Amino acid sequence: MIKPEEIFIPLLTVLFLLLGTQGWGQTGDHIRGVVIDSNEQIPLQGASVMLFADTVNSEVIDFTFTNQMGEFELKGAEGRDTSWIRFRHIGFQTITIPIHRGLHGELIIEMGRTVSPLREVVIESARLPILRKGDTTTYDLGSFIDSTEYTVEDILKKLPGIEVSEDGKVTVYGKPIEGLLIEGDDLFGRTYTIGTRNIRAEYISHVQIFENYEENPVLKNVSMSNSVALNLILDENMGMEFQGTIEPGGGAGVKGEGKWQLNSNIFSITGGHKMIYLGSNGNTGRGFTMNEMDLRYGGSIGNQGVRDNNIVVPRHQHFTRLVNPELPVWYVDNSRRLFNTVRSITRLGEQWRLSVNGLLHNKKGQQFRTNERNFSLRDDTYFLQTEQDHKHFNWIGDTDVHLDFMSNNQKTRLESYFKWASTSSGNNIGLRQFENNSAMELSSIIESEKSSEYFGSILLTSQAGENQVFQFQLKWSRYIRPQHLQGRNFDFPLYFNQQGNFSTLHQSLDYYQRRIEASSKYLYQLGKIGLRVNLKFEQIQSEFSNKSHLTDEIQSGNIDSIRLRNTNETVNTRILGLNVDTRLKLTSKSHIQLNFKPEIVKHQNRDTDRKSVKPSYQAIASFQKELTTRWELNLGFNSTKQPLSAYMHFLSPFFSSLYSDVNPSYQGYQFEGQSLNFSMIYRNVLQSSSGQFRATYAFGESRWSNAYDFFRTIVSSDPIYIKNSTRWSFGGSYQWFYTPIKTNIRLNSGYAESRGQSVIIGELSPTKHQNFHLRLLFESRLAHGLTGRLANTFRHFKVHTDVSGFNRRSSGKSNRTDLSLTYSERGWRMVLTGTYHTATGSGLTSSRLFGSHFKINRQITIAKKDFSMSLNVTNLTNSSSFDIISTGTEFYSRTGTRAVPLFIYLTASFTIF
Amino acid sequence: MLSHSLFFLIASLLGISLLAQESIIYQVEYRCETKIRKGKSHDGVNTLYFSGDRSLYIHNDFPKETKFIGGKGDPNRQTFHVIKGDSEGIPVFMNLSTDSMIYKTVYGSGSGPNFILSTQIPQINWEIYPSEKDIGGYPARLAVGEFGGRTYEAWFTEGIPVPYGPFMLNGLPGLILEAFSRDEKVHYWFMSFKQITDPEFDIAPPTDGIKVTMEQIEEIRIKSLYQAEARGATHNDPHPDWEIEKSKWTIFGDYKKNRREKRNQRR
Repeated sequence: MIKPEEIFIPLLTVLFLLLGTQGWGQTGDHIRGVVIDSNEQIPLQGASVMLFADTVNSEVIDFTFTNQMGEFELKGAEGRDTSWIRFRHIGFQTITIPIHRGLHGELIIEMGRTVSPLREVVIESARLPILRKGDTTTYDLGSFIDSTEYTVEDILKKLPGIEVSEDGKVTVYGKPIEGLLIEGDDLFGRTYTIGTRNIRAEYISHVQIFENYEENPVLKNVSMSNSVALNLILDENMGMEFQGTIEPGGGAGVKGEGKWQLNSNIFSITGGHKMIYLGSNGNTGRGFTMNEMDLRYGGSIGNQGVRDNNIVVPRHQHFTRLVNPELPVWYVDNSRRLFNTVRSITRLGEQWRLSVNGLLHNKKGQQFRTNERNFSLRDDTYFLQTEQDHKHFNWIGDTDVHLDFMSNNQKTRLESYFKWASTSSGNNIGLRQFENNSAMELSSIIESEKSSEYFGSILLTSQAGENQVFQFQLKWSRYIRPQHLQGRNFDFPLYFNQQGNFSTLHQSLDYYQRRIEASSKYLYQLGKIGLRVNLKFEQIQSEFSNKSHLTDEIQSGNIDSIRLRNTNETVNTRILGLNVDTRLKLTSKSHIQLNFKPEIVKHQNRDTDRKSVKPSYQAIASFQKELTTRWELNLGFNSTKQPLSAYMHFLSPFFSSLYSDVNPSYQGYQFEGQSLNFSMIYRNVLQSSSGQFRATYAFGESRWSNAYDFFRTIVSSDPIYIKNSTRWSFGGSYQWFYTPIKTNIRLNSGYAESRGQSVIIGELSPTKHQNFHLRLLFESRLAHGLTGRLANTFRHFKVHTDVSGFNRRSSGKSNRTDLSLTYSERGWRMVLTGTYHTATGSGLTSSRLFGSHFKINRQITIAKKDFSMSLNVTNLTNSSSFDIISTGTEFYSRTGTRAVPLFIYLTASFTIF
Repeated sequence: MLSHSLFFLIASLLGISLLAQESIIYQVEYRCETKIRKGKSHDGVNTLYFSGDRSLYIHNDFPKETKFIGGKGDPNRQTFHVIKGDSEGIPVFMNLSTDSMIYKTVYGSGSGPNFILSTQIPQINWEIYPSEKDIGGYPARLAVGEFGGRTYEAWFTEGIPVPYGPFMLNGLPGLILEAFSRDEKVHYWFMSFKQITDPEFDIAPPTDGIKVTMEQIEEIRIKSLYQAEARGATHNDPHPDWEIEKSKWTIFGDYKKNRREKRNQRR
């Protein structure tokens, strides 16, 4: 808007000057003039002069800047009754004047000064999409996301340089991340997939990559870390007391069975306290192609007991039977699952930090299942049908507390940690077996397993000089696992019991372990050379008892009980280890590292006193060119010299530890031998492509192998011992992002071969084993919000043995194809998945499986509350057959087709806040 | 009147700056994103400093040191890609009073110092449109003009009445806050505008390099072409989209074309 003073005073000035001037002025369509500083009375260079048509701020006819003499010339005003000229200059008042047709003379404009400074401005939204500063890369998500993301994992998949595998594991430039931080604090440890798959995308504004990540600030100057970590920065609207979503939901299955769910994402982030609660509870289940726990929590939960399918099929559903079309088949699973975890960090003053985490998982369910087999022995054919009522439960509880102290000068840090975890699981299986549609037998299996772990650790880190740090750590743990199994004749078809014999097996396997470890570490950095020396002493006491009774029941009623085993073993293991690393830093991203790691292990029990030496040497060279390519070469040599130990130390199967250096259980050595390992990784960051090549040559290996894994068939229940084998393998993968069609392509292949001697049925037999796999994956953004994924895995193996003069060859192959399509838009989400899997082999399992699952989810907002509904449809078809070979007697068994027709259920839920 | 004119003439001969407020230096930050063949070396934060009749534009995130990407293909015919660094951030200096633009280029400098070139300030024929929008609280108008083989849409604000902008874009009656090439190869977004209070800061042309003329660069490149051809190899011009200015370097192409025509004429 034009202010009166902008026109009036200068207008008078202009008019006055025009009266007595000659030469300059408007000639034709040219407007000329000069601009001067009214205070100094000197010409003003660089003033902006704009000519507007008709009204101010309308069409610009011409513009210019005044020259050194303060002169200007404009054109284009011809034919216009009135034009407007505006004069601007930094530090001067703006002047706007009308120019009327017919006005002649030189324009002399005097501009008065102004004290109003130019307004400074910073645009918050104009942030760099990717900002690199030293070892930190920050992604501004506004440039990468498009509102179709639901969880943090969906965001990470779209960020260049970051990849997410199928189980949720995140890698950055090919390196697995050490952890996922929330505003700088590690709330999840290694179980970060719980966070990436459950924290909603809308809460995050930035993602940071920390390279050469070192969590402990005392180690800042001496760390040889080349780890990476991700840090999530919350949206600035977060951080106010409680935020999050609770989604209760309910529905019904097609046969009226009730369905319910309660999922939660709740945060409390304040200056001194962070808390996250994640919960997934309900009995809605999922199609067979996806595992509920994997989808929600990635690989964080390692218990096989919680990994199962949760398929619901109406009872009494008939389908085509191979043998007996009259027999009803039903397959029902009514599992209820509760999963809840709380993570919190609280700062108690400047120096103390307390972290408390808890996890509770409970699953209880029941499966009804039938199958039938037909098998032939010589010229006879037998039919066997089994109905199974399978009740199962599983419980995991886990709590840990950390208390950390940091000195004010950040030169000393004390970390204490205590963890308690407990699991319990059980199966109660009732079986009814029908033979040739007449004879019936009842049998049952009852098994239960529990475990509990206690773990404590104290770690002291202290700086001793400019570039020297000492660390001392004490760890203690106790692990108990009792197991009980009771089964009756569940594995043997009736025809074996021609005399009417039945047997019941009672077995108790109890394991107890106590472990204590003391270690000290010295770290030193001198310029580009770093040195790390670690000395540790560890003592493990393990007790293992196996009490097994087999009871024979002769049909006549006489009972004869056989005690199979009644053993108690105690093993004391002492380990003395030395680890020396040295690293030469070439650039900020390139280094050469040498590792030297000899370790002495001594096992003692009442019968034996065995000692082993396990040295390991490794050289790693890593070169990276900024923003372009990265090469990493690894060459390692490992050697384990020990008389073979049959002592199996158990890993805790139920959870991953929160911290990488905490492992409450110790896995003992199951092999001896030497191996040479070579790997090479190439990565082109600019083109998002990477390649990996690995080769291993092992010689003089002796190891235990599970019989089923080795032969892909059940030969015996005892493991197989492979002696003095030579093994070599190589494999590689390549991945590239094909920009024209925005497709991620991954190719992975590997081949392994080993030759040695295997102990099979008590004999040492030469054995050759080969296996090959090829995997191809396409992942493409087909359109806005639409992603397609196609994966195919082919495997082939061959085993050649020479047992008692019998030249036995077996081979098998399998192929699995998975297809999924996901459409995600604001308020909509649809997922379609399908799997086709076949496997065949000589004397091996032959199976064919096809399944599909479709889910559609709709979210709407009413009165600022989010509501959602989802529809799920599942289909499954499975058939399998397998051969059993037992001491020269062969019989074949085939399982009929198991079909699950379309199954549908609905749920509805809403967000509370 | 005569006394007025005489005074102005004397003042300009004495080189007295007639601009007021020249001691205040202003800083404008841009975010640059390009899809040119040279790579992302121009990308990131770019800063424009201006005061009176002088301006200096710097690419803050331009590599400070020379880096080597590596060779590809047949070892006997490998193409090596080098990202040349520049300690001064490939600056562009303009002096309105002398109508001169002094800028640096990494092209053709091989492993040696970068070249410093001096030319007239490019004249861009802008067309101003009535479209308006707000950028950082400043009302901005749209202008379209051609520069360096690309058509740019530039949003400028009269509220900061200076003819400067990102890189070599200039000549509008207000500071250019945003500019985009229509072929989507070059983008500049406005980030901040503020006054600098550092008394030591000076807007000056680049000095770390070799001052050459365009003719001298051509001479150097033709000489290297002879050397390459003597070994059975040759040089080619970079891709037209190698620089922000499209098809800026056609030295080899033009020379070979002239050479071919002369040979044809002789025949």
